[in-house]
Order: sequence, then structure tokens, then C-alpha cells
Amino acid sequence: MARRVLLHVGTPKTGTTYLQDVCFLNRDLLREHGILYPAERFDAHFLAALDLMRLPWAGLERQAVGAWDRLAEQVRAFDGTAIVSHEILARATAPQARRALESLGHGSGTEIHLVLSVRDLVRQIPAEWQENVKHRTTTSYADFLAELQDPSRDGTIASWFWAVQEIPDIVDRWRHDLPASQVHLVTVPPTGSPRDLLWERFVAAFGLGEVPLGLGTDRANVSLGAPETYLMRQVNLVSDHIEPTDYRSQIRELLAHRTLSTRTGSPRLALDPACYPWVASLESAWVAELERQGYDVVGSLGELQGTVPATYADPDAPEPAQVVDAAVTSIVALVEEISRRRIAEEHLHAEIGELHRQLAVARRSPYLKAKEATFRLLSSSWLGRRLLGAYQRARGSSSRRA
Amino acid sequence: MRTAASWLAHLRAGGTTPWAAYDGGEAVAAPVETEVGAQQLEVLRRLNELGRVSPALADRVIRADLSGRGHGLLRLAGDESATARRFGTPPVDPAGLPYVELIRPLLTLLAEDVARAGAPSAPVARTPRRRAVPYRLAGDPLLAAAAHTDLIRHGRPDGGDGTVTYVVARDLPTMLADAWTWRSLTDRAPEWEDWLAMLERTGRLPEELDLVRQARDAGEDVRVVLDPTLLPGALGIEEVAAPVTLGADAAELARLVTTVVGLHAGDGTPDLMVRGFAPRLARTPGPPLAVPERSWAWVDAQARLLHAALCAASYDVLGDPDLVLAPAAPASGRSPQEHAVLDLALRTLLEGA
Repeated sequence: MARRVLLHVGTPKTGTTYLQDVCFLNRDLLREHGILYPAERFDAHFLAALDLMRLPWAGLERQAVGAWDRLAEQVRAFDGTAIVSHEILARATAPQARRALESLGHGSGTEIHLVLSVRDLVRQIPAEWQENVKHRTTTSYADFLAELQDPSRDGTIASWFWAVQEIPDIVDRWRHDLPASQVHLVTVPPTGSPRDLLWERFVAAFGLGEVPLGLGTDRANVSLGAPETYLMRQVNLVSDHIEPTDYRSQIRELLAHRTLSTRTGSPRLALDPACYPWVASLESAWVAELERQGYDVVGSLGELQGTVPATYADPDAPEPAQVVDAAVTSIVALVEEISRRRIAEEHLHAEIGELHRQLAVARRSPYLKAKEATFRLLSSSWLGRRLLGAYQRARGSSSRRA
Repeated sequence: MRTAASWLAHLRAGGTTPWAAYDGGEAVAAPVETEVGAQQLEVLRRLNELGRVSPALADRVIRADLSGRGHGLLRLAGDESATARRFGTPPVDPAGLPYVELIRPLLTLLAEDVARAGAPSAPVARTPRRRAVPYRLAGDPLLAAAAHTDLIRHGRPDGGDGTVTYVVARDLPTMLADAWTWRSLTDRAPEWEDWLAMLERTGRLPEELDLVRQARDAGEDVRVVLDPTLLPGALGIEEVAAPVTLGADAAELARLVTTVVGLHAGDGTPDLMVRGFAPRLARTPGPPLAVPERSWAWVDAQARLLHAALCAASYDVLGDPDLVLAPAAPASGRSPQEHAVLDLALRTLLEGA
């Protein structure tokens, strides 16, 4: 039974992927230091979260069967500290959260610590819209903001957004009977802070200071600018026939992450200034509630009150020249990818050609011809098939002896 | 006192009073079940309206996870026992919950039932027939699946040297309905009308219904079979069973259940859906799935293109190429309707319990 579990349940867009990458790449090293990060594949905790929450996800759910139970079993079997981390866990209902806590050993002697990394809504709202666009949404920024402001929270976007971003409610669903001292909020530093400050806070919250972790994973922020996000949304409008696997690899990975996110000169996404009073009042209410609850804070709750950037570019109506520029960059990147694949295909064709040539040479051998003729003859009768089976069994056992 | 716990006790006893009209009963000590959402409570009330709900089923309903995206557990507006909360989604009147919220616990439960029931054993091949022509089936996926099942029964697994490809087909509107139904049972599929709109926008038929391409890819030995009466003879068996056909609402329910079954069965999902759940759904009455009027002109044009290509084909076409054309008027039938899908889900759950 794990003595201590650090259960990181959100929120999205707070550097969680980087933390998970570091933990996954260093899992052997962590284990040497008595810390378990139970994952055979980089997305193991994501699949476990899908399984726990019964959440289909573009076909990936078929790889998630039994994933939570397997993860919990590894945690229970480990004698030390275990880390479980995925931001979509923020969306769990209270019964699902209780089930998760119990499966990890809560109530059976394991000390569970709930960790939430959190960021101000001023930055979270545009970041979540962009994330939605990278997951095929076609909703404009204006409609997205309007949906978030609808008090009913009806609609797929609003219900998801508030489920994974409303910090006091997430803690309320997850906390169960944990004392406040076992709830840790890691705040994301404001824009312009030292680059490593968030990582240092993660290290402090997860007790990783003694582990000489390799941080070789790509730490670059893959956010898109306003014209690039607009372009992605236009692509989404006409690409619903693209299979999810292809969308993930070609559009999200190649186009968004590896191409458009490298364009740093275009206007950044930001909160519409008109929404600021509404957002500021929400942030104040959240900070007051979190202060009242007395949770452990790594960073400062004051950082949850964001400031509006000096400039705003409407991502629903970007400068046409900037969109064209982004589109040209995309076309070049896609052509380069096609070229790369063409070269790989030519190599494969050459290999196949060589294999065919070797096969033809082998088939000219009288010995092989006789063997094939015997096989055909034996295959055509019941007795022959029995003899063939006996021969193959005998040959197999000879091979094993050899 | 009008509380969620007392209404739950009322519903557990078979009550059907809507929350808004419920004036409270005897005080009930708040159990763990106060974490039941308005979604599960309203589903239980609607099940009570349809028939007798066993205590075991009632228990499953109130504990059901909410599959897919949407709200978390919603609280009841006017619950006198609830402490005021400043955060989370505002409380609701469950009678006003939209279809997308009510269907979620039902999908969880139906998927559990499908996974638990499993699929009937695969057809057992008789002694393999010698000298039978090796074959491969393509085209309309429901027709192909039905023929394949029969051929397996006759000891004729597909594939082998010298394969003849049979591209099985019928009129294009029906083939489109079949192709979407098959996707709904085996994979992820968009909604019916969204799928048709997507095809129209891309100007392409689904790959399996592009008969010309199927025939071309099959190589030299290919037959396109349009007349179902000619199919058994072509395949060398006495008869081919009719394909499993789902009504519009049943196909939509299957589509929704398939994704949730994936969380239980992984890659075994298509088998559970095609051989387990589909025959059960096929027995439920309901209007057939039909191409809506807005897509009719495009489907008609595609059918004419297909017809012209078949007439010009150099390979065997068994049956009149006219059979691929769309009927002069849209067939009776419709697209799935939300209220009917919800009703079917409730009845299917109740009948299966």
C-alpha cells in the first residue's frame, strides 16, 4: 500500500503536460528515489481518467478499458509515494472522485494529497478556446465567450469549461473528507515571471527537490496567435471528414504544434476587454473562497486575479494579411511533410523491389520448386493434409530442440 | 419536506410525480444518495411512467455515471435540504432537462448491459467445402455482413488464392442508410444528417459505396451484384439471409451506445454491437432511416453517376443497373428524432432488466 499519493487533478492549461512528460521520462529515476509514476505509456493517466469518468474521447476510449483499476492497483502495491496526474480529472463528479480516492487507498491508511495547478481566468479563457479549436471546434471566440457567460452553463463548451476550471467547485467535488492541509494549490506565475518559476513550484508541491530530474522534454509553450487560431478554425470548418487519427497527427500535431505555434510575431490571444469586469468579479469570489478554506498554496492566490493585456486583437476578425501569411507557412510545411513521406515511400519501394528480386531468385531453385509442388499435392487431399500437419509439428518440435 | 432524498424515496417506491409538483413526503435522513443528480432522478421517474422498475434497476439508475460530455450531477431547484452553494452549475427543474442530459445515464446503463450480455457465439463453419470459389465481399456493409455470415455457416471463410470479389449493392439511398448504420454499430459516426452533409460537401460517397472504385481495387475477377435474388447463385449457396435493419431511432441509439461500450469492450465493441445489440434493436418497431429531402437531389445525382459508371463497366454486373438508382420519390421514413431515441432508450433498458 502506497504511504502517500499525490493526486494532481487539474486544471488544464497550467503546465500539466510538461510535468507529466518529465515524470514519465524520469519514471525509473523517480522509482529509485521511492516515488512511483505508474505509466507504461505517456498517456497512461489520461486513459485511466477516461476510464474512471466513463468518458469517450474520439475513439481513444477503446484503449482505456480497465485503465484506472490497473493504475490504482500499481499505486496500492507500491511502498512509498505515488504520483497520479491528469488535468481532465478536474471534471469528475463527486461519486467518481470518491471512488478514485478509495481505490488509491484513502481510508485504508494511505495519505492522499490533492494537487491543483491553477491560473487566472483572464489567461485561462482564451487558452481554453484555443484548446477547443485544436480539438476541432468551429465555435467563434464571440460565441465561446457568450456561452461561458450564460448562467445555465448549458452547451458542451460551457459545461466542460466550468467543470474543469471552476476551482472552488473542483476542490469541493474532489476533497471528500481530506483536511485542508492536504489540498495544495499551485498557482501559475503571471506573464513575465522567470521561466522556471512554475516548475520550481511543481517541484516543491510534489517533493521532487531531491531527484536529479532530466528536463530534456520540449518546454516551449505551443500557444497560437490570433490569426493562426482563426486559420485553424477555418480548417476545422471543412475537415470534419478527416479521421481522428489523421486530425491528431496532421492537423493538431504538424500544423498547429509544429508549424503555427512557431510563429511568435503575430498578435496573441487575449481576453476580450469587455469581459474583464465579469471575469474580475468571478476571480475575486474564487480567491475569497479559497482563502477561507485555508488550503496550502504554493505561489500566491493573488496571482489568480489576472490583468488584461494592453492590446487586444479580435481572433474572429484578424488582419487578412496575417492569416494569408500563416496559411502560406502552413502550405510550405505540408509540402515539406509530403516530400519527406515521398522519400520514405521511395525507400520502401526500393526495399520491396529488392525483396521481390530475392524471392524470384529463390523461386528459381529446383529444390524450392519441388517443395512447392509437394505442398500443393499434399494440400489437395485429406490424407495429404494430415501428413503435412504431422510434418509441420515434427519440424516445429525439432526447431524448438535446436 | 421537499428534498431530493424524499423525492428519491418517492421514486424508489414507483412514484411518477414530477419534481415541480412534488410537495414533499415524510422526512428522510439524507443518505449517500443525495449525490444523485437531477439527470438520474428524472430518468427514474420516466422509467416509472413506462412500467414497473425493479429495486435493482432503480439502484443502478441512481448510481449510473453520466457518460460523455455535459453537466456534472445537477442539483434540484427548490431542494429544501440543500445548503446554499455559491459555485457549481445552478440547480435545475429536472422536467426541463434537455435530451442530451437525460440520455447520458441511459447510455451508461445500456452499454453495461451490452457488455454483460456479450454476443452470441460466432457462426460455426461446417466442414470446409472443397472446390468452392474463394471470395471476398465488398460494397453495402450490411448486405456484405449478412452474406458473409451465411457463407461462414456453409464452411466458406473469405480469402484465399484466386479470390473473386463480389461487390454487393442496392439503391443508393438505402446503401447510405446501411453504411451509416454499420458505422454507428462498429465505429464512431457523426449524426445522420451531419454525415450526409459532410459527404455532400466533400462530393464523395463513402469508400465502401464507391462501387466503381471497389470493383477497380478488387482486380480482375469481380462481380457487382445488384439483384439480391442473384446473390445466392453467384455465391454458390441456397440463400442469403436478409441483413439486420435498424429503424432511424434504433440506429441513432446504437450510434450513441457504441462509443460507451468502447469503454468496456475496447476492440471487441463491433462484435458486441453487431451480433449482440443490433438484433435486439432490430426487433423494436419504428420508422426506417431515410435520406432527408434536403440531401435528396445530391443523392439522386450520385446514384445517376454510379448508374452510368456501372453501365460502362467492363466487369460483370448481376442485375439491372437501374437498381442502383434512387426511387422516384423519397422513401417513407425519416431521420432520428431525439424524443423518440430517448423513449426507445428508456424502453430498451426497462425490457432488458
